[in-house]
Amino acid sequence: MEYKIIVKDLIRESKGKLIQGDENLVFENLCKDTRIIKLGQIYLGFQGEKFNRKYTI
Amino acid sequence: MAFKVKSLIGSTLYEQALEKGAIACVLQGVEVKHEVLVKYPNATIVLVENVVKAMQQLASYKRSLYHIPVVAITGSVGKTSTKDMVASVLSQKYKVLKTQGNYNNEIGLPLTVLGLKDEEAMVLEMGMNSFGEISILTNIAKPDIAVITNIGTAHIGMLGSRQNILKAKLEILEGLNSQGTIIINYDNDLLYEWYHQEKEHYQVMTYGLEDGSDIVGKDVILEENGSRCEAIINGHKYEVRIPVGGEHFVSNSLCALAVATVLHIPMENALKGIEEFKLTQKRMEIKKAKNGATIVNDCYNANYDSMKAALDYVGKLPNKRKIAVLGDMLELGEYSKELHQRVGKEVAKNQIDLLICVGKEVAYMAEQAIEDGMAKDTIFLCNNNEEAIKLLQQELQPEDVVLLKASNSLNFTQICEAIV
Repeated sequence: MEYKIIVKDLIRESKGKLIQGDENLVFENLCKDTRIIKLGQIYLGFQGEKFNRKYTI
Repeated sequence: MAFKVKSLIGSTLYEQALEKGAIACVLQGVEVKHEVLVKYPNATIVLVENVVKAMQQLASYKRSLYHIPVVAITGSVGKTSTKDMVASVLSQKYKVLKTQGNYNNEIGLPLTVLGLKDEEAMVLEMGMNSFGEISILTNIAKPDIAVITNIGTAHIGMLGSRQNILKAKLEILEGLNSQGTIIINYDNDLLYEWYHQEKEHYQVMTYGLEDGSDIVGKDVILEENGSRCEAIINGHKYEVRIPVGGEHFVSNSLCALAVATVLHIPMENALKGIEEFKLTQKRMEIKKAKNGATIVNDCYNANYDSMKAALDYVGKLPNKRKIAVLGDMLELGEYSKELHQRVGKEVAKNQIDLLICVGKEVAYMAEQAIEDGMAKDTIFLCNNNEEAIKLLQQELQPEDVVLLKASNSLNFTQICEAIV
């Protein structure tokens, strides 16, 4: 069985804030790279020095 | 291998994303411009304190909705191929979601979990380069089975000692289901010691080629394109056919059989899953060069343990000449010299006919190979991939086998592409 996550779940779990839009939007088709993002995807704006690394083991 | 950042300012790029058709943005640390909101009135914009943490929190929530078996895999080497083999075995019974590519870190794992649809099982790879990272991942994944493939020396420079690597890998137990099972490689010295100290406190299953483990591999036959062995499980013997060469893949297959045993997957199905296993590209991938020589392309990553395994494999092949094109192993800190020297010993031990070294630290490898008996005129030090390509183009004969192996950032794919 598939469980759909919606923006409202994101806001609740992360204590985030809806600036604009639909809190019932299904949270899927995620993309973190603006160079390859496509129509209809959700953009994740990761940032921070912590991720500037090359390898894990 | 983990996430390599291309931008440190992701949250300021939201306008580009919206221009390209993004229907929503999750951002941190930015003040969204009023004109952007007016320009994209249908876009959903959410601000969170930290996008990574938000994805982790959301993934934890999503995981809690699914009552499906979850297998988490970590280890210094062999995580990806073990993950692929375990997923292949599980796919005989379940619809499986597994970690793709390098999504084995604090960003990739939550995104993998958020990608769950109607899958009936999940196989997750967990990488790390410091204490506390596996802890975060396992607390999202909440595995029913935790696998540790090996405690080696990969990136030992960051954690300081193999004991510390063990400690960091054992964080995987923090998220393990209270009824869950930990599966460990009994052939690994540190995991063996840990097992004998802690076996009363956990439900543990062991696998390995040495006697004494729950799943034992015997009579291993290594061939160029595959391996065979006999697995002994609960007193029963099974013939295992692994479609990839190298002793470490035999070990991975025993691990997959251990997972199958815990999940009550019939052994005939599990064995079929191993036979159908497909290797991730650039990991012990067998190719043919333009002149017919055999190429073993294992250039995805390199550390002492995986170098040793690859050299053991090539050393046992029947080809007329064995050529190793080896590059630097990175992030070894103060252990770099010693570990490159140890690879040099393996080169000599496996009677490699020609050693082509690319990089700086590889000089230690070359010196040690000479000290251990390899002729000086069979060793070449190259400054870059182009020099190695030129040399290979001059030297390569149709009956040769060539091993390509280095840390990923040395881009040995370039060498592979030039000769195949």
